[in-house]
Parts: sequence; C-alpha cells; structure tokens
Amino acid sequence: MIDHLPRYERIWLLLGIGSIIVFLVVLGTLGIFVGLNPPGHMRTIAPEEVAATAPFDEPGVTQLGPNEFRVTMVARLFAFDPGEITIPRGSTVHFEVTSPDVVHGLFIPNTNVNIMVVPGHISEYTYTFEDEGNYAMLCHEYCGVGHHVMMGKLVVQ
Amino acid sequence: MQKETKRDKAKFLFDPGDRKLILAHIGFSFFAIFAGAIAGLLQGLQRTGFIELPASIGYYQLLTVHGVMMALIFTTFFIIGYLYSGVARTLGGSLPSGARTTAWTGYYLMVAGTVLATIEILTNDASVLYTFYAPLQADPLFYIGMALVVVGSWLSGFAIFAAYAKWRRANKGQPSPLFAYMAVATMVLWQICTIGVAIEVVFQLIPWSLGWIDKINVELSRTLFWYFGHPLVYFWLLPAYIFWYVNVPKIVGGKIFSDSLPRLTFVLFILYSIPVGFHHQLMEPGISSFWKFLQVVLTMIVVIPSLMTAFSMMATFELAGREKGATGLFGFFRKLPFRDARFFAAFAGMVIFIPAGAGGVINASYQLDQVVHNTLWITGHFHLTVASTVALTFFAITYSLFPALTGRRITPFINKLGIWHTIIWVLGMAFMSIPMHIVGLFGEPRRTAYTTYMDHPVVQTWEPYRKLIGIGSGLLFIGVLLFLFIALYMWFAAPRTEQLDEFPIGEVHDTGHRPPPILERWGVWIALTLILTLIAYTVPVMHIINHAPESAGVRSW
Amino acid sequence: MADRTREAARKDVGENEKLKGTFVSVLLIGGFILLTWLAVLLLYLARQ
Repeated sequence: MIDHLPRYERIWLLLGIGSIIVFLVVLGTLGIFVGLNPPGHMRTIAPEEVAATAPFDEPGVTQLGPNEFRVTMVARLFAFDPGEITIPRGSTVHFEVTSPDVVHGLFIPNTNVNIMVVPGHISEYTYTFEDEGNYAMLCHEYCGVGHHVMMGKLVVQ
Repeated sequence: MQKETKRDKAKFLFDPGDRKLILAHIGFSFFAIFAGAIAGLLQGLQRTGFIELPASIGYYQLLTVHGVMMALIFTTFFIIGYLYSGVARTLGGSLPSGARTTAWTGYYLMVAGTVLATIEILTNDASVLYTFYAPLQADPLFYIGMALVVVGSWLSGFAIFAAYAKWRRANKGQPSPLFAYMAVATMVLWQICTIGVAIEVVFQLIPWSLGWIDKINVELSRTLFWYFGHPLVYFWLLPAYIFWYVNVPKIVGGKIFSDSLPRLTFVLFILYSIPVGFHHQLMEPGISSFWKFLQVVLTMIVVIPSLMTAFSMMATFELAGREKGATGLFGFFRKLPFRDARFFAAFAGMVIFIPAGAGGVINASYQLDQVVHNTLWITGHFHLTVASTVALTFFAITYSLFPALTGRRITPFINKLGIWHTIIWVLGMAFMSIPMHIVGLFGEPRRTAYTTYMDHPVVQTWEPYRKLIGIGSGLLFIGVLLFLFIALYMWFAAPRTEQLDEFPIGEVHDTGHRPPPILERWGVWIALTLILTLIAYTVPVMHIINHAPESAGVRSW
Repeated sequence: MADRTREAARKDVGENEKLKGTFVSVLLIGGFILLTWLAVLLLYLARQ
C-alpha cells in the first residue's frame, strides 16, 4: 500500500514521523538525563489515616538546608494545610502532598508546579523558585462546591 | 401530509424505516445540543463574571449538564444516526430488518439512560462532571443511566456490524464500500474503549453508590475512565473524518483520493488511540514515569494518521481544482465551493483542526503537560477539536444529509444562513478558545466557577481574557439557535424537492489498486489492539490494584 | 497489486506534479505545529 503513495506524501510522512521522533528524543532526554519528569511517585497512604500518620499528622514547612525546604501538605475540602508559605528567593522546595477526602490539585501559576493529589497516594515534586513574588497555590481539580475558593499563598522574598 | 402518495415517497432516498431511525437519533441529538447550549451559556457567563446564578442552580451542576449533553449525548446520538445513513446508503440501500430492530432497542436504552441521568443532574444529585471523578459519589441512578447509554450504543454498533456482515456474505471477495468500512472501524473502536468505562461504572461506581461496597480504588477508576476517555475523542473525530474522506470529495466535484489509505488511517486510529489514556494522567501519583512515557510514545504515533488525512484532503482539493482548470501553486483553493454551506462548514472545521492538532501534540508531550494540564488551555483545546472541528463537520453533515432524508430542498436562503452560521461559530470559538489558550498559559484553572481567589494579583492578568471568553459564549449560543432553526426548517418547512436528492457519497479515484484484503480482517486488528493495550496497561494496572488504598464516597457539592 | 504497470507508474509521476500545492500546504501546517511545540517547550524550560 505504501508504495502506491505519491512521492510527496511519502516525503511528508517521513518528515512528520521524523519530527515526532525528534520530539520524543527531546522529551526522553529531559526526563532521563536531566531528571525533568512530571510529578507523581509511588508512595501510598490510607486516606482515613492521613491525620494520624507521619509526616502528614503535622503538615508544614521544614528547612532542610540553607536554601532547601520540604513542604508537607494536606489538601482537603476546601483548603491547603499549610495555606501560607514564605521562602527566600532561590529556594528549592520538595512538595509532598496527599488528600484525606477527594481528588484535588496543587497548581502554582507561572511555575511548573502542577500536581494531581489523589486520595491514597502521596504526590511529590521538587521545584526551585528563582523569582520573587506573590504566588497562588490553587486547587485545579474539581473537588466540590467550594473548589473555586480552595487556595493558598506562597511568597518568595 | 396524511396521504403520502407513492410519487411523494419516491422523493425520499431512504427506506421509510431507516428514515425514521436516523431522524430519531439526529432529532434526539438536537435536544441534547439545545440543553447543553443553555447550560454552556449560563456557566460561561458565570465563570467570566457577567452574571450571578440564583442560589438554586449550582455552577458545577450546569457544568455537568454542559459536559454530559454536549460531549456524550449530542455526539453519540448524532454519530450513530450519521453512521446508519451511510451504512444504509452504501450497503444495498437499506438496513436489514434485524439490524433495525437492534438499532431501535439501542436507541430506547440510550434515551432511557439519558433521561435518568438528566433527572439526577437536575435534582443536583450528580454534580460530578461527565468524567465522574470518584470518590465524588453521585446517586446510583446517574451511573445506571450512563451505563444504559453505553449498553445502548453497543447495540447500535451490533446493528452496523450485522448490516456489514450481511453485505460481506452476499459480496464475497469484494472490498466493502469505504463508508461502511469506516463506520465499522468507528464502532470497533467504540466497543473496545467503552469496555473500560463499563467496568468502572458496573463493578465500581454502581455497587459503591448503592452501598454494596464501602470503598473503591480511586486511581483504578481514573485509569479505567481515561482508558475510555481518549478513544472517546477519536469516536467523535472519526465520523468527521468519514465525512471528509467520503462525502466532501463529491461536494467539491472531485474523487476520493485513494480507497486504501483512508482504511489504513482508520486501522491506525483503532490501534493507537486506545493504549494511550495515561497521557491524561501524567500529573498523577501511582503510575510510574516509565509507563507514562511509554504511553506518550504510543500517543505520538496516533498523530501519523492525522498527518495522512491532512495530505489526502489537500490532494483531493488540488486534484479537483486542477480538473477545473486551476493553475499555480494554490490556485486550486479558489476553485473550492466556499459558497456551499455543506462544504464551507466542513472546511472551517478542517482549518481549525490545524491549531487543535498542534495543541494536542503539546498536551501529550510529557513534561510540557505541566504547563497546560487542568488549565483553561485544555478547555480551549477541546473547544477547537470537538466543539469546532467535529461540531462544524456535524453541521455540514446535517446540511448534506437532510435533503435526502426529509425530501426538502436547501434553498438559497437556507444555504446563506448556513454560511452565516459557520461564520458566527468560527467567530464565537475564536473569542472563546484563543483567550482560553492564552489565559491557560497564565495559569487560570479549568472547571472552576467565577473566583477572584481573594483578589490575588495573579487573577488580574486573567480579567481581559475572561471578558472575551464570555462574549464567545454568547456568540456560540446564538450559533446553536441558528443551527437548530436551519435544521428544523430543513426538516419541517423547506419546500419539497422536485426530484430525488442524493446524499453525496464520493467515488473513488481509480488508480487500479484495490485495498489489500488484510485491512478487512478485523480479527487481526482487534487482536493487535488488545495486545498493544495489554502491553501498555497490564503492569501499571496490576500495581494500582495491588497497592492503591481505597476511598469512601464523598458528596461535596 | 503487484502488477503495477509502467502506465500506472507514469500516471503516479503525473500525479506528483499535480500535488505540489498539496505538498507546500501540508509543509506549512507541519511548520506551524513545530513552532507552537517549540514555543511551549521554551516556556516550560523558562519556568524550570
């Protein structure tokens, strides 16, 4: 069938397939060799035990080094805990987030922090905040009647 | 009207039984698009700050109506009606009576399911959006209604398979007509992918919402949904492709570019639109990077049949244009029948598929999804794909099919109205989708009621785009009303045709090549699809089943 | 299918000439896809 293709169509398909391969090589290289993967991770936690299980029994910000923090966060109907975070410029933040109730999201506009929070799972993502500013932490997965007020603030000074 | 004479009957292309069946499906889809449009207008104006809703109507309730009616009900009923028309037309002139009985059973199941689900949404017992989102727990009747819709659509598929099998038996060794082949391919895709959502609804959501089981595996339910959710978008797109491949060549006065390639593209769509659901779950925990990336690779392969389609369409236009004396590199564009609403609407849909497809490649690009996932960019994306490319083609199908179906003419007036309708639709979508893409990059989340996030400074950058999106909603609502006016006019009021009106089915450009018989060996393609699906899903799904904790239901709306 | 006659081959060559506009058109489409993809890649990297 392929040998009946007009020559131009063969060139077009080769160019198209070639571009797709280039895309995949770029994405794969970023993932494997630069370590840039979307959030995720495989740790689990029973949703009804979130409040009683370390580290989520004490959500908050822990300083790990001069410019390095861990944010242990619970996303619940309809708030983030902690809901306000202040860190210095250039900080690297390790987020670990879970939900005791429904599916939420943790999304910080104008950054690459875009995390789904699924009950039963712990989502992890590491991001370095290079620029000062008032960032919003938004729930970006429909979670109920208060979904559009579910937010927190992150200040980088 | 009461004495429809033999002479009158001769004006209809379709058998009366088929006519009734097709019109029942398409007519019901009009109810859905009308309800979906009202909900769409109200929620569009609410989320952009133009209006406030009365306390008795919830934003997310309206959003559920809009999603269910437009994405599931309008599309499914319209598609099935259209497929029946082409199958009846190309496989001997009418559907076999057994197939027709199955088709009607499917129809009533789907109608009953739609009514049940609609009641639950209207009583605010099912504001879980059309994507279900467990552990949000709706009333069991909502899930039962959706299950009936799926089962009904299976019967529709069986009706098409039966008509096809009968034709194959009577025409041994012949390649099947292109339309029928593509209709079968579309329904094969549908049967395979709906198994996922059926398992989710029947084994998880229904028993759980009835209280027979306390908890369900949320990540498993999401995985089953998106196993269905991505091929679902191809179930919308393939009928549009059928119109482009089979009907449009006739309308532009050309021929079908090839009899084999369109079949190959449809086979590729079956193979590669199914094992790719993880690209909707790239930001989720519980699925490892390896399996996510594997499905990203498979997703990219599904771009290829669309690249082939782009070439085929252009080639059809160019060959038809040159036949009519077009010269120069792009002279053939001037020979296209832009004044014919049947073509103009479909052509607008094709053009919009260029940015829509480009956006789709970005969405599936693993890390790049972090920029756009669950922002308004995605909403903008599928308003270009399904609500523009697919919907505009469905409008074109209506204009092309109705004269043959209702025995009434497209008058110059109605044709002009169809052109204006397309212009309004394209403008409405431009106002809506372009700002959605931009404001999505600035971080406005999708599926969100009007909010200022406590006057957070980031929201101020969104404001101007919200206004444009609201204007787009208004234009599109006018567009739906205009479409319904045109369709109902062509159904009930336009002047009757003097002679038999043809449903434009293209002829194949004769290259002397017959489609290879392997393309018609469905067992091979279904088996390959299942193998690919098992490769892409077995290990991660087993991991989810064995490790993901379960959740109790929550009603948070 | 194997019996592709010389005449059919000649016909295909003629077709190629007729499909120049098609080829240029799809290349423009491909270029557009490439550019938008690169733009979002750069946005992602700028935010990283």
